Amino acid sequence: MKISVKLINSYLKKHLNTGQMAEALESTEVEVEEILYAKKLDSKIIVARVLEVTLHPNANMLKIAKVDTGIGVVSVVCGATNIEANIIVALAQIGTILPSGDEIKEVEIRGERSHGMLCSELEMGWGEDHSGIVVLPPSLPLGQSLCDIDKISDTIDIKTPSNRWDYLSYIGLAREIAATQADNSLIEPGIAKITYHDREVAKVKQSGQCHAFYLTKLRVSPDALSPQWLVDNLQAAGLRTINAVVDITNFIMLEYGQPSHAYDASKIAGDFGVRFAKPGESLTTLDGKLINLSSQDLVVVDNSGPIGLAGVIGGQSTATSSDTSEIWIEVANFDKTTIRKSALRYGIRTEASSRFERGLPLPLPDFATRRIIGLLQSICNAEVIDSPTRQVELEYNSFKLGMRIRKAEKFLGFKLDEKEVIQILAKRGFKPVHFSLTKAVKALGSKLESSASAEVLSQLFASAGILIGASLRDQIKAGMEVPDISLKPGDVLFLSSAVPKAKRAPVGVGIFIGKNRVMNLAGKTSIVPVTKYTKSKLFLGARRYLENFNHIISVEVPWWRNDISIESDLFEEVAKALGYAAMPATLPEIQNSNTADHQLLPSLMVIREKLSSLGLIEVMTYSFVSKFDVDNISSDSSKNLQIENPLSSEQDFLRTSLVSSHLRVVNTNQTSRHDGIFEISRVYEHSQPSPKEKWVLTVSIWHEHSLARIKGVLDDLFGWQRQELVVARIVSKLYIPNRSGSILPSLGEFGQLSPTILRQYEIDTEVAIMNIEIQKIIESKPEPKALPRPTYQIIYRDLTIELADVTIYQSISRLLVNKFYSVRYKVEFQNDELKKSSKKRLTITIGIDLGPNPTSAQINEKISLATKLIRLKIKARVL
Amino acid sequence: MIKTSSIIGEIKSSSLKLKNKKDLVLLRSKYLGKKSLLASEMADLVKLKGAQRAKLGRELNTLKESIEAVLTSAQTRLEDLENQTQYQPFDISSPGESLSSESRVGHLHPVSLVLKETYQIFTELGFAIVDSLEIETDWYNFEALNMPDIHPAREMQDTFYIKGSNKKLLPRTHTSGMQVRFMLENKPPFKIIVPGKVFRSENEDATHSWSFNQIEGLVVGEGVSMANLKGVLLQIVKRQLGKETEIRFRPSYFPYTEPSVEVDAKYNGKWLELGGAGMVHPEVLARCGIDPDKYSGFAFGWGVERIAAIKYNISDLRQMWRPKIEFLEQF
Repeated sequence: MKISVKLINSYLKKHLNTGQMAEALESTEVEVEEILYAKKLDSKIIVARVLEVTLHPNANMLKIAKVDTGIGVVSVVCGATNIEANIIVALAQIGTILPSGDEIKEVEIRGERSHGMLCSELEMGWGEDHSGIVVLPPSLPLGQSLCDIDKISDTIDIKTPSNRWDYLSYIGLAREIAATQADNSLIEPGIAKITYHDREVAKVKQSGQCHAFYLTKLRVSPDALSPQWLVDNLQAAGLRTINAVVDITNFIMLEYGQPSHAYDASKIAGDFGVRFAKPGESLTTLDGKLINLSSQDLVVVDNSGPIGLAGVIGGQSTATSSDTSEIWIEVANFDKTTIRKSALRYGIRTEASSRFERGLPLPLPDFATRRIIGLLQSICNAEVIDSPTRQVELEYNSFKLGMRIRKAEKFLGFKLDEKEVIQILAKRGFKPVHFSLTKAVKALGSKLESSASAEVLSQLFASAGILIGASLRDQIKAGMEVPDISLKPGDVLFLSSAVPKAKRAPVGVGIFIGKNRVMNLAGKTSIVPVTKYTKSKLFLGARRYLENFNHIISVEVPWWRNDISIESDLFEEVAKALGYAAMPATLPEIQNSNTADHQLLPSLMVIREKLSSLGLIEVMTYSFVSKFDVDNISSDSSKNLQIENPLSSEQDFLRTSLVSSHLRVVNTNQTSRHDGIFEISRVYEHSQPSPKEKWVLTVSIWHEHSLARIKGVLDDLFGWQRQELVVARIVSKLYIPNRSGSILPSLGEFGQLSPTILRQYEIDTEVAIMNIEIQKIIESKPEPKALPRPTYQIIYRDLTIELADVTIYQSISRLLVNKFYSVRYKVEFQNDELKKSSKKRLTITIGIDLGPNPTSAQINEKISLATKLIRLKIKARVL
Repeated sequence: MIKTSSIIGEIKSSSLKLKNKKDLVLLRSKYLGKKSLLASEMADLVKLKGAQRAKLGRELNTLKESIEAVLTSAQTRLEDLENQTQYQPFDISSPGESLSSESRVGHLHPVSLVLKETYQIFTELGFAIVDSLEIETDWYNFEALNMPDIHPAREMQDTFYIKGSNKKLLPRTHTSGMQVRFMLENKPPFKIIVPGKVFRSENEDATHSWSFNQIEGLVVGEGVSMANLKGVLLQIVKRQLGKETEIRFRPSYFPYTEPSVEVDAKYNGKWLELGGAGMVHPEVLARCGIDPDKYSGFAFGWGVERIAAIKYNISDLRQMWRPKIEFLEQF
């Protein structure tokens, strides 16, 4: 929202310059987005009057105007359609530099000399309008330089938080700015008091939807024009002038924050009403759009049906026009949620709805009605017909909050002085008073006349900042139990009912006031000795709600601050006033109760560091993928969660694997010197009742030996985690057959990608990839265990085995591992001849533990055991 | 008249069953050969006249092109299969080639560099680093944080929704939902940070990404104050951005903290917006079973990419999400 500095200043006792105002705003929740300094107009732009207009002899679209500059008459060529004799215009004389930087020169246009230019709003830097030339008020003296007419102002572009309705009004902003300065205050417009008739003018059926509905019927003079100040004012906020009546209602919305609506009384059929729309009803809005109403839309109706979408936009059929002579002004308070929903439903976010949806306070329609009537009287010669009426569902009740100074100190970390806090709050319109238990207890008597003892008690503690519950039953549960001997003033004592059936439910209550006396609360107050309670059979016990009644202030919240509802809201007011710059910076003294369960993320970071130390580059890729990716990569596309409202088709699905993202990275980095990347990220899977998420590590390596190098990374990873790597061949559309494997037990998979997939991603080199469920591997990391140091020599022998080339070394090692001290892979060999018969040769080293004195017979026996096992189980030949 | 879609469906499913090139030749002749349905329809064309003939002609041509396309892709698949059988079986249990022999320098992602440092600093301050889920329910992400269904503050965060969940599931828009999850499961006192990815349905530019990493902080205990919030944040920025760094709080509004502030850091003489913070709203504490009269706490959150951009002089956030090795090699 853009606000004019000059306008806001008109509501302040002490005017601020633009920088000061921005600074004052920054100390509130308002965010200053930009300060736009107005450019001062060139003094060569002057007030002039059009004397006569003739058509340009050589151009259909152009006219020639003779204008009076006060000291002479010049001739200007002009293209504007709104030019006519006798209007007052802005003439940029020869030599003027416009705010845009353009210079006005004497030119000849189609054979006619033009001694300057008549300016549009845009050319003057006053606004965006370029549809015609600016028409100035007739009161301005001819020849006066427009730079002396202080029309334009610096503006500040601000963002306001959604809990503050008042920041969407000049008065609200000015009030807050004034509060930040000791020597400043708000100047409110003077408004006359009026008397309303309480009458059911609008038949509001649904309660909670329309809290107040004020209606005023007025006679207005149809030819009244909005004065220049009003037009300028609306213009500064980016609103257009429509007619005097509508301009006034719009201005009040800007000034007070209260939207209102003007109806042409002659177009209203019968009585006003407010209700939800009925099926099939529609409304043509002011801007000519037809909307088919929903039964959740609150509408203003007359006998003909809906005439406005409540709080959002009025209807066309009852709109005021230039010949309207009688109007109805409606000022209402609608439910914020209903209004917001309607505005969202039709995508109509109006100035009105954006104010209603923040929740407007109940006293506001009265102020706005009075101000509107006042302006209508002075601008449109309006007369009130009958008298203004109102229908109020909810009356405003002021409310009090307790604020504990010591608690505030602890909460904010500021040292606070009670007097200063009271001053701060008072400056902001709150009514703070020191809380005195004695006074509060004394005042209970009169309150008991109209309210039950539980309610009175609850109010007393609420004004001290404590919520103790609304019933005696809640109240006895809420406090801390106090033994009779240590009673302090303010402790509450409870008595049960004498009726046995009532099962000791609290019915009697009193407050300890010291000196062994209790203020008994039963219909009226009476002071009784404490023993009346403590020695009674019906005594239920005493409760303490507050250790200390000192340093508490009781604060009445001003009506315009409906954002304040709890004690910490008051803490914030105090903190803002003292300024966060003054707040000390200290470290919390608490210790963490548990960090053991939270080692995963640091462990993932360690893995990242280790992977990068291998020479791999870490990447980060988007978690959303396209349908193309899902089709190509997902083994089961029904597991991919889908996005309901993607911004592009690249974001349709949530990924179940990082493979497609990595292939895109490989595609754009094929020629890079580095050819290995990794990423640790979550993947997501559709599942009931809630989606499954897993941490996945994916490593991709391209160019030569991609698969062997991926396997190398895998070996390192399992080595770091001190885990045995167990693999099995898999068949998958992603990988080349016999060049891929899964890691058991379901820890992941790796392999060389099939050329079909690579072609889809336009990759011309080989790529191998591994996908690991990294959380499983991290969480099962065993502690290291050292083996006993051997005291004698282990015997090592190599065996060379000829076997099918699809058979893997692991099947042999697993066969032998329990029978020998160790089994190691040594080397593999294949030539064309072996290849033809799909064979390979594999040499392994076995370690044989035969104690300190092995014999060659024992060794040979062991080796023949291995040979036999290999022959029988693997169907392979040991050479 | 022949049904185009059923023919295409038929040929697609038969093409997937092809074993070798001979099968392919047979399939081709069945659909495009002289005795095919298409050929006979083509032959019948001459009997038709004018516009009708032209229309059918066009349709048949389209069909022919579609069949050709299916056959071509089948051929590619078969060629791939043939190529693949030429690949030698790889012993997946044999020791791999170690990358360390290549003695190349690897690199952590800038976001990881920042996170690593962040973990270290917070660990020193006694914080636990807590993992969290990236798909969140509407309740945790919004409602439990005082943002019911229609709350205007929801507009501060444009939300993606999971299809079919009736807007009840979403890729989280912030890490703050984890505050509620954690508080429901743990008793104070605690000091945690929750790093993680978040998603906003926003158009991208150099300073906005629809996907980014956040760090959420949460400290709850007896006597935890807003001055503590300032103290912790000051420590972090001094460690992460340099000893001279200053911070300032600007009043702000978040429905789940009270008071709420925006946090700025002064870095190289300029105030930069870091993120939001505040004292945990008593209603949020109470909702999580923590007595707001006994305990108080603060929470903060900011973007990791922002810190990386400030620290490492990265002008366009998108560079971090669209990996180019030349860019990543610098970190």
